[in-house]
Parts: sequence; C-alpha cells; structure tokens
Amino acid sequence: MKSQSPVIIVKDVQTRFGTAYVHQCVSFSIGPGMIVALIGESGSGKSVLLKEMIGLLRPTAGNIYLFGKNVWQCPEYTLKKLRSRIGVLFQNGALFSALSVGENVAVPLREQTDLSDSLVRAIVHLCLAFTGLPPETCLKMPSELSGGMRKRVALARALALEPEVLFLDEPTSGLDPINARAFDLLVRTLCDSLDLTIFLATHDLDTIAGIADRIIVLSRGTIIADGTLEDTARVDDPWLQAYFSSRVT
Amino acid sequence: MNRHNNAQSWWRIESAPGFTRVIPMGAWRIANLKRIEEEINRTPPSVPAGDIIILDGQGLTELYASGALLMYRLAATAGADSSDIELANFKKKHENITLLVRKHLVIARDLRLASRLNPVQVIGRAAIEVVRRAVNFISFLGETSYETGRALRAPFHIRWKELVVQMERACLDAIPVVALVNFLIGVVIAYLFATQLEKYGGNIFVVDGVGTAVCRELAPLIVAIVVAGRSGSAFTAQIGTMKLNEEIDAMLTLGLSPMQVLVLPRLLALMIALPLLVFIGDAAGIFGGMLIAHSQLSITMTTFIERLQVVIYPKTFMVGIIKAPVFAAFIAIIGCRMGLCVQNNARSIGLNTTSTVVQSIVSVILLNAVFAVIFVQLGI
Repeated sequence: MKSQSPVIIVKDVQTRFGTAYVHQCVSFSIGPGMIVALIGESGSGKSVLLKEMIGLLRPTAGNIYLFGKNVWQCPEYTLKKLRSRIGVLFQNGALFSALSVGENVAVPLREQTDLSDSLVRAIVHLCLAFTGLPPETCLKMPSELSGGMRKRVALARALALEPEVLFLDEPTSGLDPINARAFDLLVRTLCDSLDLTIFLATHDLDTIAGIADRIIVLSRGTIIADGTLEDTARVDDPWLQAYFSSRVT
Repeated sequence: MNRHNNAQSWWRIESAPGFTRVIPMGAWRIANLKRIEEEINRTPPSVPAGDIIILDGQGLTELYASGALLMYRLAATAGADSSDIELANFKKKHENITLLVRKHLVIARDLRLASRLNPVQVIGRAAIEVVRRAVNFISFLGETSYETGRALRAPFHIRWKELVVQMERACLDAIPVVALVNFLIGVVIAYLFATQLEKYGGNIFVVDGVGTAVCRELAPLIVAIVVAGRSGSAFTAQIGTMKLNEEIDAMLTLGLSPMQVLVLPRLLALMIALPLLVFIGDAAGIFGGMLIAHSQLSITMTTFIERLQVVIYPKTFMVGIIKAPVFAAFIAIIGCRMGLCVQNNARSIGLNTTSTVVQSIVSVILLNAVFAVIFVQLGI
C-alpha cells in the first residue's frame, strides 16, 4: 500500500482573507485507504482548507492535487470528473430542503448514472442502512429530522456514488456520545471494507483516538504536528498539550 | 473498464449435484451496474430448485457496495434467500463489503423515496391548512390588538428607534415607485376618459373623473398593493430568517417580546406610512391626469386645478386616506405573522413570503370592496 501514489497532495498552500492570514504554508500528502484527522482550534482554518481541497474555495497560493490532478489548474471538465470520485459531508448536512430524505440520497445517482429506478431505490436504502437509518426515514423531509439524523443522511448521500475519498467536516459535532461512537465505527468500517480514504476535520478527541490512522494538527497557519496519536501527543506545543489534557477523566 | 464486451458475461454458473456456484466476474462497480442489471433482466440465471447457492468471489476484480447489492439480487433471482447464501473464495476486502451489505440488506422491496398525495388528499390537506391559517390569523390579530392597546397606554414601551427605521424603509424608500405607478395610472385613466368625453364634448369632466377615481379608489388600492409587495414580503423574509436563525427564541429567553420588538414597530410604521404614501399617490395620479388633459383635451393646468377644487370635496380625499391605515394593518399583520410561522427550513421562508404577498393583495382588494359597500350605504 505504501508504494501507491498519494491520493491527496496539499503543497505550500497559503490563504489570506484581506490582510488576515489563515494558512501560511500548509503541505501534506495522504495515501489511499486511511483515515486522516485534521485538528486545530476553532478558527484555525480547518473548514477553509477542506473547501480548498474539494475545489470550492481558491487558495491564495499553493497547489492542491486530487488523484494526481491539480484541482485549481485543471479544466472544468476534469474538475467535474474529480468531484464524482469524492464524497463530501458538510458541517450542517447541507441536505436539499425541498427534497425528501430518499430523494436527497438519490440525487447523485440520478444525476451521474442511468440506473433503473428500482436499483436506485435499493442503493438508497442500502446507504441509509449503512448509516443506521431505518428505511421509513426515506419519506421524511430534512426539516423533520434531528441534527444527528441529518448528518447520517448527508453521509448516506456522500456514499451513494461510491467515492474513493470522503471528506467529512466535523462529522460528530452535535451528536450524542453514543451516536458519535457509532458514527466513528461506521466510518472505520467503511474505510476498511470499501477501501475509502477518509479525511476529516474534527474536534472530537474520541474520534481521533478511536479511528484516526494519522493526525494532522493545524495551528497558527501551519502544520505543527503530523503523525499517529502517540507522535502528536509528544509534540511540545502549548495548545496541543492543552488539547490532549482537556479530556475529563 | 471495457474488459467485458457484450459477448462476455458478468457471471458464470457452475452446477454440481445439490450445489450451484454463482461466480460474478469482472468489476462490479457503479459504472457497470447498468449493464449488469440489464443482463440479469435479459438472462436470469436458472438454478434447480432446492439447490444450495454459493456465491463465489474468485472472478471479481473490483467490488463496491452497490455491486454487492446487485450480486445478492442476482442470487435472489436465482431463487436464493440472502440469509442462506454461502460465500466462498472471496478476497478479504470483497468479503468485508459483501458481509457489510448483507448485514444492511433492506428487505423493504418497494418502499418509495418520497410520498405523493392523491388529489383528494391534496384538497383535504389544503382545506385543513386554510382553516388552520384562519384560526391562527384570528388569534394573532387578537394578540396584536392586545399588545397595541398596551403599548398605546404606555407609549414609552414602543420601540421608537425601530419604528423610525421601519418608517424610512416602508415610506421614504417607497416614494419613487409609488409616485411612478400612480402617475402612470393617472395617465391611463385620463386617456380613457378623454376618448369617451370627447364624443360628448364634455372635456372638462375629465377632472371629475380622474380626481374621484384616483383619490377615492385607485391611489389607495395601488399603493396598498405596491406596499404589500415591497414591505409585506420584506417583513416575512426578515422575521422568517430571524426565526430560522433561532433569534426569536433568543429574544424570548432574554425577556424580549417579539411582539413588541418586531411586530409593533412594523405595524405602526406601516399604518403611518401608508396614508402618507396614498397622499403622494393622489398627487402623482392627478398630475398624470393633468398632463394628459393638457395634451389631449387642451385643458390648461390652471383650469384643471380650478375645476379640481370645485369638484373634489375633502370628503372624497378623506375616503381614500381613511382606508389606508386599515390596509396597512392587514399587510403588516399578515407579513409579520407569516414570518413568525416560518418552519425549520429555508424553503419555508420562500413559501411564506409568496403567501404573504398573495394574502395581503387579496385581503386589500377584499377590504376595499367592503369599504365601497359601507361608504355607499352611509351615503358618502
């Protein structure tokens, strides 16, 4: 697996809003089939970096490669193809409020494939089942769901097209601990059995300790630590130490 | 990707006495599913009844969740129950996916993705909705009246600053559009009168016609409709966004009454603004009529104004002005209420805003008819 080329490469990314620097110089690369957690204090630009990686926000300088293609220098057509190989879970789910849950999950299938209606339905039900939702949820509207359920539906939608890379923005925020751990387990299972690469931005220590293969710590615009949990815990940084000791025991 | 042309099959079947091996071949991933499904439909596998079915993974090059799903479908068309299918020779990775899919295989075969109502249900639901809205509106009207009464008894409770802001938006900012629309209406009315009156040589009566029509009916109605579209919808959108953002809940917990902070200033501002706008509408409409009278019927402006003073009594003018606050109250109450009953999704803001405009315009026209009857009965 180590011989395989990296799926994501972030190279010297710099982001500036007006005069405020969000990222000074951020670089890392991620190989296939692992769960990588991006952590950092609130406002350290985790979500911004995520948006840059999926081609929604242009970094001020630097390059981002997905599957070896430069996201910000490839033609629209290539970007579209790249996007069909990734799945994204937005922080608040970003479900289409005009569509029912089932239709929400079916959107990528209907837009990108020409599968028969019955197969689309079966895949939708399967994806919902993966995320632990009963089939009856299909008929509900997003506004009728709780925050946690919305997140699951959003994950089901992100999974529908069999992405190779899954980007998750704060997947467990707003979930109760039991559901959060179930969500972690689900992510781990999906990663292992579907051979997904998962990149998640999170605050959740349990998620990091439980499922992340590798942790990237973003602080003050740069990466201050990169490695396994043990590696990062050894890094001598006041914020990072405070972060790891914040857990109530 | 094109390892399989049409001649080749997506699966192979090997039969032994008592056993049937179903061996899927190639890449069972979403890009190929369409073709695989077509093949299943075209040539469903036939298996002797009572055979044990074994899914054999040796021929798979790629397998994704949806592919595994279809694999079970293939086995099911061969007559197997998903629970007693045996798996054999799968690569570890593929077996994991297959087991994961089997665990979550949904039996619900034909559950639709969205519920559709039949026409009778649609009518029924709409009827219930109308009643619910009417009840809701009446209770809101009561609540607003009560709060208004209280605020008038203790005027220092009124949010004057907010009221002034709302006045600016609803009144000052509306002047150009109100003036333009009424000017054009005055022009059109004057044209209509001009073509008719010329036949009888009663040119001067254009003043009576334009003056009465604009002051009594047209200006109040047109202004109210413009304001309903401008301010009523804005009220719903503003308050609805606040509701969605949980700002209304925050207000309540901070001890602020949304009624006092949001509804009353808007209501009072609109009730003051609308009569003023009607006055501007009157002036603009009459001015439009005057220009046409001058150019089409050669009535000089002096003559027009002299005649206007004779035929338009203050009463006619007042009839138009008096209707305005009533229209305003309805527009503001509908707008604020629809804003406050926005549900927990962004789409509902759009729906409620549309509904506000429709409701306000209908109620303004309805009220205008009621006023017409009342004034005629009173001999005004």
